[in-house]
Amino acid sequence: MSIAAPETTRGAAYVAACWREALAVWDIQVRLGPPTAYDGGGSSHWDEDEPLAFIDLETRQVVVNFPLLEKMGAMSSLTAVLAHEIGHHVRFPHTLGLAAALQVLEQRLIPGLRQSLTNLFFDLLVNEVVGRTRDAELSAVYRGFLEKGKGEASPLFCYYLAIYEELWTRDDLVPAAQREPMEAAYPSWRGDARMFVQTFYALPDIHLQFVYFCAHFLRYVPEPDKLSYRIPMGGDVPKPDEDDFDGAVRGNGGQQAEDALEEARARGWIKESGLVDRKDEDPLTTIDRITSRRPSNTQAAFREALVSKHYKRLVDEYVLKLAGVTPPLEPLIPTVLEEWEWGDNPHGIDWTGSVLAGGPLAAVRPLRRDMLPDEPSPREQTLPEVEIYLDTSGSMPNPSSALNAMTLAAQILSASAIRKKGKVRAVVYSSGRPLVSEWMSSEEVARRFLLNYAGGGTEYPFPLLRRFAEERPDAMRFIISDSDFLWNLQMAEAMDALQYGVSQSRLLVAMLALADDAQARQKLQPVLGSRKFRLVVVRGLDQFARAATDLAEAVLGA
Amino acid sequence: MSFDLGRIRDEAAAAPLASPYPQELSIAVVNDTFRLARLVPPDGKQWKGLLASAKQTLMLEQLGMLAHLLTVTSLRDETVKALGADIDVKRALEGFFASVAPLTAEMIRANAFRQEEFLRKWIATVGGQVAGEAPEESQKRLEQLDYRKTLAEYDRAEKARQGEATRRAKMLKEAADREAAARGWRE
Repeated sequence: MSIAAPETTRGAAYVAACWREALAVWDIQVRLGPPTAYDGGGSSHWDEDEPLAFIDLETRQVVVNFPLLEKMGAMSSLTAVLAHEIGHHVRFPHTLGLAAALQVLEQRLIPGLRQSLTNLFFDLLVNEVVGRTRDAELSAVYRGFLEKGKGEASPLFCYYLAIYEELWTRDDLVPAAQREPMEAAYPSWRGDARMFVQTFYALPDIHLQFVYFCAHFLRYVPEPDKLSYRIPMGGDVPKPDEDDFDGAVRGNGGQQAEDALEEARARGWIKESGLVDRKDEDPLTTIDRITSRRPSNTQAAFREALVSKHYKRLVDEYVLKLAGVTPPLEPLIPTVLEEWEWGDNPHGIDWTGSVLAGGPLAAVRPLRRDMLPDEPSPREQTLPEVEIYLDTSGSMPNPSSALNAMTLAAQILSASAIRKKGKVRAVVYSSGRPLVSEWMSSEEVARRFLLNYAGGGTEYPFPLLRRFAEERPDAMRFIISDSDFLWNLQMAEAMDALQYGVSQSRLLVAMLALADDAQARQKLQPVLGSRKFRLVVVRGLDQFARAATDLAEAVLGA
Repeated sequence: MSFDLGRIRDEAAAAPLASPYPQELSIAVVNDTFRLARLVPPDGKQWKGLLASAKQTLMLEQLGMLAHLLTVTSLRDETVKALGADIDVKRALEGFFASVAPLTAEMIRANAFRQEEFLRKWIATVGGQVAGEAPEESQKRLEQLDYRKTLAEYDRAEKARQGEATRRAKMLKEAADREAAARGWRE
């Protein structure tokens, strides 16, 4: 039984009753707070300018835009709106990992799609359940949305509404004025919607449902790369984060997607609809696809995070894990006195300090003093400092777009050194001023720094080598480049700087991608005799990572 | 006589089909239903003619599903109550199998819409009504569910889509190529 909603009902009792009914739709207990009014915040959960409702995952509350609901004349649909939001929370998408996997699949089937259709997809699933008992309420929301937007709907939205008409046996959702133009533009579109309803909801697997959904909806998206749409109760699906997408890139849900595609091929859905059936062989291509349509203010950071995770996996394939874990040092160094508060560890109270500072009040205002472990002595450091000079000229690809073997080699060396408690400084160069990092002892920081890319000419920074060699005479230095490095040696004072660098280093290794080493031996003749210099010739780019691993094992003991 | 469609479907969902019914068993179940209504079922010769008259493979699947639903749900009891003495059993069966001709056993088993259509067409065949619905509502729903009609409409949509798909595939390929070009040089 639904609750009667008088025109002015915005009272807490009405909202609470709707909330109870909405929970009953899903017959499930959820840890969500009762709905609160939208106050203009929560933009992280909402892409568009004015949300109707969404779940704030920070406060775990459903937020409802009551004035908008009233403006749409759908205040009596509050229960259905709340049930819709709960549906996204408890059932569709089942996990954010699934949402990410479907978006990856979507970009594979419809490359260049500007706005994801997954929101429509999950709404269709949620509304089928909610609409079993509350189709009239949901219909009121859609009608109110259309009236608010001057009654016009895009072909995509018309088709979407036709699906609900077929599902709920209604005929009051698609604007009457658009039925004939739709038939003219998309012959038998109603038959299409009917078949969709009668097939889509009977499919046994969500991946198969999604491929079927894409195959049918693509017809109503004339230009995928320009698609932009708004729907009521859209944009309210929790967004997958970088870890979710990383899982999808790694292949989570990949087998289900492949199975679904195989069945879709057998049923003729792919060919008939015009979907693209081309698998990305390189995970970096997948990353590029899924990040290139993100808002520009978050795109770079999101891409960097995913690319970094991808390279970490590659590094982990090569770098041996250390068998033992060094226990953390004992905290022995006292810090300053601070107020002890209820809830703090009583063992942290420094009674002597408290009495000295507070006298008789020490018992009521005790002070605590934390202990910290001592900084490790430089003498305990097992590895010298490591400097890596990485060539990122245009002869190698941008590591964010395609696998850059030299970048990977640099990351392997840096990870090997850091895992042996070494410190790493990286110099990423092309032409012009090189990028120089601080001394880094975090693998993640080093890995991200080494993803920098210039893509210009090649100009090895010999003056910098000379300066750093002077500053840190005991460091190990690795130069990762190709035959361009040999050309660079012809620059004025280049060989002098290299010789000085060799003499001032514990070891200087030139790791060069070369077809043969004859020319290298000739050009590097002045330093080849030094016991502090090593030339490592890598015959092919695909051998760079293995060579870096062998090198790390040989000279860093990793 | 009113058939509680919701209850019948719940009962069917609670007793999933483990294996297909053999032809003889299916015929026996359907014949028993008519006998319970004090009607003479088709004899062996008539059944043979019936099964030979249409797409035999699908009709056997439909016959098996009908027997299953009559066995595990209250459909049989309601059917017995609904069947009138004046019904021409052979003609009724011919009409029923013709109306559900495109439905496979898998569709009836796994697709809620197809199962509803199958049941509604059986109810209409035996002269029953769906509980809680006016006859016009039942008729409208039946038209909406008619798979043959949906298929015909969909075929039209498919033909139109094929032309559109060629155009779109070209556009998607161009978009993919543009993307690849934008990514630049690769190994």
